[in-house]
Amino acid sequence: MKPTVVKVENLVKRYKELLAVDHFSLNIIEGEILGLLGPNGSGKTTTINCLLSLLQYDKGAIEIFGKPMSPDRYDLKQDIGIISQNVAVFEELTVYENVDYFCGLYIKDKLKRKDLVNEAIGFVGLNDYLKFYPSKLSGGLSRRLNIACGIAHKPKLIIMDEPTVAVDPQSRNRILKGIQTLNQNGATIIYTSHYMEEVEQICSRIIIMDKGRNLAEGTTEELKLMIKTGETIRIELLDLSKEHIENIKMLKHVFSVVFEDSLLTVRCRRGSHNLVTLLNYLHEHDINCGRVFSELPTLNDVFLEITGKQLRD
Amino acid sequence: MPVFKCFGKIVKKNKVSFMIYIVIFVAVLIIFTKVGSSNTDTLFSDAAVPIAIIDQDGSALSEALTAYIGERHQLIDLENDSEALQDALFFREIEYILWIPDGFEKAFVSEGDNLKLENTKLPDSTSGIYIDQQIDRYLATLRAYLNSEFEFSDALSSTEKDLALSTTVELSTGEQAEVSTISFFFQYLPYVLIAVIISALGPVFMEFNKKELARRTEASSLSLKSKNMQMALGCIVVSLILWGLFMIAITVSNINDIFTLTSALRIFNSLIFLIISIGIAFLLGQFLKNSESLNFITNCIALGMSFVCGIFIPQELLGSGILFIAKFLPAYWYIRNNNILTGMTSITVANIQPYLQGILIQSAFAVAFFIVALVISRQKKFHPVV
Amino acid sequence: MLHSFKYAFLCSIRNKSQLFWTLLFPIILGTFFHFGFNSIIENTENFSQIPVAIVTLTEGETSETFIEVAEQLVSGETPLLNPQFVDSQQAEKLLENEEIDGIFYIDDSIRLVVAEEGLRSSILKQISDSYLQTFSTVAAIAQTRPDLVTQVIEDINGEFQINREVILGKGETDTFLNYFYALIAMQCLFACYQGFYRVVNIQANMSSLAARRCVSPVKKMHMVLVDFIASICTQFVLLLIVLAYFVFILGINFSGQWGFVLLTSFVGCIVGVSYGTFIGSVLKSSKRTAEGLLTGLSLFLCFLSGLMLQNIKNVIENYAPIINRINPAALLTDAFYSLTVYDNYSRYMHNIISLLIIAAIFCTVSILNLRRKRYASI
Repeated sequence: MKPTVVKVENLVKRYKELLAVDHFSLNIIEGEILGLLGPNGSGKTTTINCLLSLLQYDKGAIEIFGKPMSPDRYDLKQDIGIISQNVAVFEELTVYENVDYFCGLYIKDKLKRKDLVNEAIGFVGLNDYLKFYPSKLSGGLSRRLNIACGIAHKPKLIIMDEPTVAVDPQSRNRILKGIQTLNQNGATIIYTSHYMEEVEQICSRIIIMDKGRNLAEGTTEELKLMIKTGETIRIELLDLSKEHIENIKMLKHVFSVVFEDSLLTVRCRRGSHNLVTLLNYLHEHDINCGRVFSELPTLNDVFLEITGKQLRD
Repeated sequence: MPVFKCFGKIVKKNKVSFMIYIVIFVAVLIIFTKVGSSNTDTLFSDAAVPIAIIDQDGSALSEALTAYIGERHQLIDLENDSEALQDALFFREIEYILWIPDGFEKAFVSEGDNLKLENTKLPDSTSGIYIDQQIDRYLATLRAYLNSEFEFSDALSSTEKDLALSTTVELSTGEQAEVSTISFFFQYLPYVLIAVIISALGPVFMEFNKKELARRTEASSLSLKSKNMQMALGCIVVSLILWGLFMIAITVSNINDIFTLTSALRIFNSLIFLIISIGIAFLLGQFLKNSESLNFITNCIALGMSFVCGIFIPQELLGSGILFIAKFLPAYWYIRNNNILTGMTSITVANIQPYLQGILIQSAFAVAFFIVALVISRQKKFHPVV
Repeated sequence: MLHSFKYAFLCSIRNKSQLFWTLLFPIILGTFFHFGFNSIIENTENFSQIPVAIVTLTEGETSETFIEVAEQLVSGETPLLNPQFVDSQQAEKLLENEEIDGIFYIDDSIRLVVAEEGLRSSILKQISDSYLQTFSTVAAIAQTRPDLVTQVIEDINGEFQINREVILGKGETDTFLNYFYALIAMQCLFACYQGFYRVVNIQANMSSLAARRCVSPVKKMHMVLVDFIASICTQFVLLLIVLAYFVFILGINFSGQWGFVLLTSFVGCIVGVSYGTFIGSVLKSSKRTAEGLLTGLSLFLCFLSGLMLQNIKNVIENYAPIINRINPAALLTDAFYSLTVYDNYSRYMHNIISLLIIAAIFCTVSILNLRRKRYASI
C-alpha cells in the first residue's frame, strides 16, 4: 500500500462572507497525478494556498508526507515544488540565473545544483535561451521557465496551478508530456485546471470542485459512470414533428430529447445499440438526416450533470 | 462618449497616487511661497539680524561700539563658549559673532598693537557683509576724529552723530507694485503644475496607447477624430479642475490683492503653461510603458526645469551658459513673463510687448509638443512594431 | 546565504528604474548645480555701473560735493555708478522706463527714489549714506583741522582692516555646498525604492514570486535580511559612484574626512532602505499608490532639508524645530555640514545616532509586519 502524500480533512476557508472552501477533503497517494478540476472561482487556488500554508484557514487539518503542515515545516517544504498560475520569476535575472536561484533555495551543494539546473532547463527545452531575460520570452516559453524553476530540485510533490493558461499548443503538449515524465520519475503531482481535455489526458485521478466543495472523485471512467449519460447522439435534421420527438423519447435508454436549430440531441444511458436503434427509427419513418455524431460522455457532461453548469462559461 | 467616460475612470482609478502628489506639492508650494517671499528682506541692508558680541575689553569704546550695533541689530547675550556659540550659529539663533579683545580700546587709541576685532558669520547671510562694513565705518570715522586731535569722548559722540545720518528712501510708486506672495506663488507654480498634471494625465495616455487597446479602439467604429476630441475634452476637464484648485487657493489667501490686472496676466500666463504641461503629458504618454518610468521622468523634468529655468534660483543669478540652455525650455519663458510682471509698475501697450512675446513663445512650445506627439502616434499606427 | 545574497544584489543592481533614480538623477542635477552656481558667484560679485539719475533741486555745497563724489565713482578701474544729470521730470521718466535704477534728489540733504527694493537699491543707499556721513565728519573736522580733511576722506573710505574673520571650528563652508549635501541626502532617501520592491518580492500576498519564495525551505526572515543587506550594498555602491563624480569630475570639496563622509553615506543608505521596507510592509494598496507615496514623501523630505530652497531649514528651526530632528534628509545634511564646519564631532555623532534610531524603528516595525507567514487572503 503506497503511502499518503497529501491529506486534507474538512478544510474550510472564508473570505468575509464568501465561503471559498467548504469542508473540502482529499487524499493523495504517492505516484498519483491528481487533477483538481473546476470552473474559475471554484476554490482550487485557495485550496492549494491553504495546503502550502500560505493562507490562513478557518478549520481543517492538512498533512503532507504524513506530518502536519505549517509554515515552519522546512523539512516538508524541502520536497515540495510549486508552479503557480502567474509566472513567478525575477525579471532582472536571466533564465539560467532564475532556475539557479530557486534551485539554490533547496540544494546547497554547488556541483549537484549545477547539474540539476542544467537538467531542468534541458527538460523544459530552454537550452537556447539561457541568457534571455523573462520579458523577452513569449508566453509559452515563460511558462516553461516557470516550470523549470519549480521542479529543478526534483521535489517529491509538485503542485501545478493552471500551468497551461494562454499557452500555445506546441508548448502545451510539451508541458503535458513533461508532467507525465516527472510522474514516471517518481513525483506525485497535483494538477489544477479548468481544461478537462488535459485533465482527462494525464490525471490518474480527478476531483471535481465547485463552490469550494468536493463534488465527485475518481478516475475518469469512474466519474463518467457516475452520471446518467452514457452516450450523446446529435443528428442534423431538417424538420421533426412533435410526435416523432415523443416517440424517440420512448426508445430504450433514451432519457432526453431536444430538437433545436435543425439539430436533434438525444441523450441515452449506457447501452450498446443506442445509435443503431435511433437510426433505424428515422429510417423507418423516412426521415432524412444529415451528419451524425455520437459522443461518449466527457467530464464536462459529468460536471454539467452534477452542477447544472458548464465547466467553462 | 465612451472614450471620455473611460478617461474619467482611469483618472479615478489612479486618483490615490496623484492625490498624494497634490497634497505634498500644495504643501511645498505654500511653504515655498511663504519662505521665498520673506527671503527678499535680507537683501536690503537695513534688516536687523541677531548678533552676539563678546566684549572682553569692557572699555568705553567697546561699549560704544556695542551700543552702535545694538541700535541697528538685535543683541543676543551669550557666553564665550566655543560650542555654545557654534550651536547658536548653527541653529540661527545668531547670524554674527563679534569678539572685542582685551585691550582693544588702548590699542586702537594708541595705534600701537595691531589688535584686531574678530568675527564669525554665517556663510549664507548677506547682512554679515554689511555688518562688517558698518563696524569698519564706525571705527574708521572714530580713527579720523582721533587723528584730528578730538578728545576721546568727543570723538565717540561725533562718530555716533555722523553715523546716525541716513538717506531717506522712497519707492517710486506709492504702494509696492504687487504683493510679493502672489508673485512667488506664480514663480513656483510651474514646478507643481508639471508634476501634478503629468502624474494625473500620463497614466491615461499610457493606457490608451497600450498596443492592444489602441488597436481595438482603432478597429472600432469610433472615428479617430471623435476619439481625439473626447481625449482632448477629458484632458481639458481634468487639468482645468486641478489648475482651478490652485487658482482658488491663491485667490482665497490673497483676496484683497488678487483682483488686479497684473494678477490677471499672471493667471493667464499660468494657463498657457498648463497647456504646455498637458502637451508634455500627451507626448510622454506616447512612448512610456509603465508607471515607474513615468514617475521618474516626471520628476526629472519638473526638478531639472525648475533648477535651470529660474524657478528655484532666480534668473538674475543664473549664468549666461545655463540661461542659454534654459531658453530652449518652456518654463524659462514663463518665469521671464512672471518677472516682467513683477517689475511693472503700470501696464502700458509699450511695456506689455515682452510679456506678449513670452506668451507667444510658450504657445509655440505647446503646439510643438502636441504636433510631435501626434506624429509619433501616427507613426505607431502606420508602422506598428509587432 | 551567499547564494541568496549574490542574486539579491544582482536583482537590485539590474533594476533599471532604480539605477536612474539613484544614479543618473543625482549626477544630472549635481551637474546642473555645479554650472548654475559657478555662474551665480560670478554674477553677484559684479555690480558695476549702476545707472542712476542725479537731480539737483537746490544748488549748494551739498550738491556740488555730491556730484564730485559721484563723478569719482564713475572713474577708476571699476566704475560703480553711471550717472545722468537731468531734471526732475526727465528723471521720473527714465525710472519708469527702467533705464535707471534710482534717482538722487539733492537739496539740503539727499533723497533716494527707487523703483524696487533689491540689491542695487541697497547699494545706492549705501553710497548716499556713506556720502552723508563722510560729509558730516569732514565738516566737523574741518572746523578745527582743515588741513587734515583730505587725509580724513582717504582714511574713511579706504580699506580698514581691523575686523578679521575667524573660522569657528574648522573649514569654510561654501554656501552652495549645502545643495550638494541635500542631493546626497536625496539619493540616500531614494534607496527607499529598493526596500519597497524587496518587500513586494517577499510578501506572498503581493506577488506570485513572493509566494514561491515563501514556500521554499528557507526561513523568511533570512530572506528578508539578505535582501535588506543586498539593497544597502547596492545603494552604497551607487552612492560611491556619485560621490566620485562630484569629487573628481565636478571638483566639489567635501572637507577631506573621507571616513566620516562614507560613514554618513552608509548610514543614509540604511535609513533609505529601511524607510522603503517600512512603507512596503505597512501599505496594503496598489503598487502605483505606493510609488507615488514613496516619491512624493521623499521629495517633500528633501525639500524640507534645503534641496530647492536654501534657507528653509533655518525657517523650520524657528517655527518647528522638531521636524529638523526627525527628518532623515535634514539629519543627513546636518551631518555633512557638521563635518565641514565644526572641529568636534559631538553634533555629528548626535545626527548619526538619530539616523540610526530612525532606521531601527523602521526596521523593527517592518520585521513585526513581515514575520507573518500566513495571510488572510492572497
